[in-house]
Amino acid sequence: MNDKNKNSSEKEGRDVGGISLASDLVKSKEEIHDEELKTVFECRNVNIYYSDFKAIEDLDMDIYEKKITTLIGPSGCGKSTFLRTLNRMNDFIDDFRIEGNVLLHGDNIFSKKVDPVEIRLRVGMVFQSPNPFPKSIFENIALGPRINGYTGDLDELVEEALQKSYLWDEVKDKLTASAYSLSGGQQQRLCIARAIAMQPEVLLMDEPTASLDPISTSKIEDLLVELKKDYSVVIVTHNLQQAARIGDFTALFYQGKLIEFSRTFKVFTNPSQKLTEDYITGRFG
Amino acid sequence: MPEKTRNILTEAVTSGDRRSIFHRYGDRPSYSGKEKFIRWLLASMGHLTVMVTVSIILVLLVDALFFFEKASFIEFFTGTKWEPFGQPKKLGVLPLFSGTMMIAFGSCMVAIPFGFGSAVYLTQYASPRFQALVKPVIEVLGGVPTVVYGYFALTGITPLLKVVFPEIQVFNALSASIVVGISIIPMVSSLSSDAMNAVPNSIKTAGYAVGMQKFHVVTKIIIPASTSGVIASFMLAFARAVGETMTVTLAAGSTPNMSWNYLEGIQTMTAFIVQMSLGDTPAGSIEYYTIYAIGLSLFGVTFLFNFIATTIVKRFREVYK
Amino acid sequence: MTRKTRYQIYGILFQSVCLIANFSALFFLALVMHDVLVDGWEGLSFDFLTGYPSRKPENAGILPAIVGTIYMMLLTAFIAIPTGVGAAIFLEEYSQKALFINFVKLNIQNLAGVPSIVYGILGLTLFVRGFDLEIAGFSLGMGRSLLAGSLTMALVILPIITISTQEALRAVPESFRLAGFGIGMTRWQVIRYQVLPVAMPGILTGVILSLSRAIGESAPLLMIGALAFVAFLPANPMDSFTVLPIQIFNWASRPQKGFHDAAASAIIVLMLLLLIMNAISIIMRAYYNSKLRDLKN
Repeated sequence: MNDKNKNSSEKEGRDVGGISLASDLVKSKEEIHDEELKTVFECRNVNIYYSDFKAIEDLDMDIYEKKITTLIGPSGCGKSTFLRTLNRMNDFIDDFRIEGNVLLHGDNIFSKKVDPVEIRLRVGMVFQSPNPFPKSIFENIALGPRINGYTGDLDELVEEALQKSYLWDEVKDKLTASAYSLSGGQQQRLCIARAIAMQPEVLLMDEPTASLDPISTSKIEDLLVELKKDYSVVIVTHNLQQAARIGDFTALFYQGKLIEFSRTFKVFTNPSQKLTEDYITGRFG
Repeated sequence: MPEKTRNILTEAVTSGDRRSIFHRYGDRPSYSGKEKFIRWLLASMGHLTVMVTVSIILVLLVDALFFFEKASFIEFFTGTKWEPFGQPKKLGVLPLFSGTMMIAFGSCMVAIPFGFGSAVYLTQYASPRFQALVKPVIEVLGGVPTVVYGYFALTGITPLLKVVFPEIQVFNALSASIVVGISIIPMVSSLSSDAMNAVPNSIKTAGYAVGMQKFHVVTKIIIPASTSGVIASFMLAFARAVGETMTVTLAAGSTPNMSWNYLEGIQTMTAFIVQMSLGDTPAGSIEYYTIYAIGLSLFGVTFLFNFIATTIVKRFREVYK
Repeated sequence: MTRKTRYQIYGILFQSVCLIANFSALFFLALVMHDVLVDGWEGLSFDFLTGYPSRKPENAGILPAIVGTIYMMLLTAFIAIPTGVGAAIFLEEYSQKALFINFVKLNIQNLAGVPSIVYGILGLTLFVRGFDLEIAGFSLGMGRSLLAGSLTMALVILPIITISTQEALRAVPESFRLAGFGIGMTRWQVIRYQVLPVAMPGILTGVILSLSRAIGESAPLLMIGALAFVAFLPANPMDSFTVLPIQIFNWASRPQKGFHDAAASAIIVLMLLLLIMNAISIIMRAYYNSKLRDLKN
């Protein structure tokens, strides 16, 4: 899982503005064109308001299944707002208003019949700063499934989740220790384990490595590439290199509008909008 | 990682039936009976607090109206004699009101300097160890029951005052004022401390940065910057003194008068209410309803001061964000 | 002398004055304690603690007062704690219709400033007398009973419990709630599993402090009619009763020095009780602070 760090000149890849691309993105040309893509989220004519302020304007976008979609853009462009809308976390903000449709596998998540709590069971979220529960490592992961009536074996579930988050070996002997005894990077992996233990269809991540050191960051990036085998992942990131490293698809937001959305490879090497090229090359943002 | 034939972590999705894995899924938990009941229960407790205020106002108003049916409104608010048991009855509240004011002002003369001074030292000069030692003691001072203060005023302070003022009466306003003041010091100290602690450090450091000495930083920057909170604390202390009951009942006396002589006994509104309720006044008589008229006035005065204090903090709070 | 030196002197004077203010507070407390101890220490005897009030100061006892205080405190706690904590949870966690919520919060703050004797008037009219209403010949009021007294006291401390619980809830970082919601918890689940466990020490501190207020408050109970010459122990909530502060008040209002000393002895007992509760709350606060420090990493 470290082959992406190989020298890019060994593969067919290009440098755009000093960013070298993940080699497996450049792997096979057929992949780019002919792959069958299924959509997990469909957003049509979405407008989002905070009272009178229009945070998202006329958004039309799909999130594809079992791919990593990265959302990039300068501060305040609306990418986090959009992310939080996907699991209805924006409901907690008083003046939040949405127009248009957001469909999760065909179901409108904003319909009156839908309980937002259940949306969040299908769409999990990991936050920028790790926020484990003030409980033991085991309890952090087991609490959610237990409340929701998990019918399987909790011990098995906890171990699986920790294995999949590359945390099991580090904590298997201290599952009853407080979650706060872990380092920042470990806590964030714990939060990821907690999220996937709920067996969501989609994982939303709001700048998950922003507060971590480079080593933890790269561990988590490797983890995400593994996770996309089972989950669709949507990541907001300020780190363009990160988007280029792990994203399958990239969306650029600017001032509430979706500027460009396509394969990461295309966005970083041959963007169709000038704004995109300016942002990638660092002319603003 | 060994290959597993069964991927536990995606069962809920791949099986197509989330409910088989999480058997509470699909129940719309936010709208379940339990959630709704809990929300209703908590909301009714919240509403209960409003009901308390409503009942207080209702009870006071309705029964005070009974009083004002039989007594003159104007005489009540402007009359200078309070003799509800005399013949003929004199029902002017001003003596009781002036008694209350004497105690309130007198106690603020004690509480404000000591309380504010203590707050300044604790927030600006004191080491953390000093604070940790002194603050709990001040809190204990505030936790002493008022009846204890009443006893202290009667048996501890009045004899002392008699040395200085030989003509002082056994029941007098001075002793009660001093002791009520002592009992309010902690409140002034803690509220003023909060106000001064709310001043952001950046303003403080700015003062030092232009070469001011600590004395000036404290007196010309921090104290003015916390004015609204400090004034509010004074008003709250005043309101508290107005409502004080046990100390004045035990030590200030039961002789309403308007002489403003601190060495004499007086009667406050609160002390009168106590006196009336301890006696054998038949319910329904005008003497009985004086409780409500006085109570209403008391409530009005304290409500006014509390309201002004919170409004001051809200409107004039120097906005630092 | 230079201006700078002059200001330095002012500074030292000012600081000293403020320091003296602090020590004065300690001094006053010591004065009160001294006065009470001197007068009341000798009266503390086993007979005093287990006896009943009598016409003669030498035979005075405070057993009914102690028992009454404890019963009243328990009953008040039973009524006031769930209500106050519940109201606070509603105000802080279920915030909708901001205008109404703000109104309720403002209302509670005002209630906290209402003199306790006004609550006494409310209790007298509502609980003791039941507005002088009758249904089928039975008075709606409860008479001068333990229940009426406890209900009134509960109203007195309700605002304090609510406000301190609100502060404890507000101290819980928002990230906990978001984490809970993020994995699909309902609001009550978030409160029960994330917020309350973290806020609990703070809530308990506030509860204990408000209960110690309740023990010391006498004005409302005076209005209710907690008598001071009770020769029996209350057996059920409808019995009449007395409490320590009332007993103290009664003895202190008598002219005889003997009764004054008895009052002082009773004060010592009351203060001891309060000291214990205060100590418990300080310990809880230290525990709370260390737990918060852990949480903030």
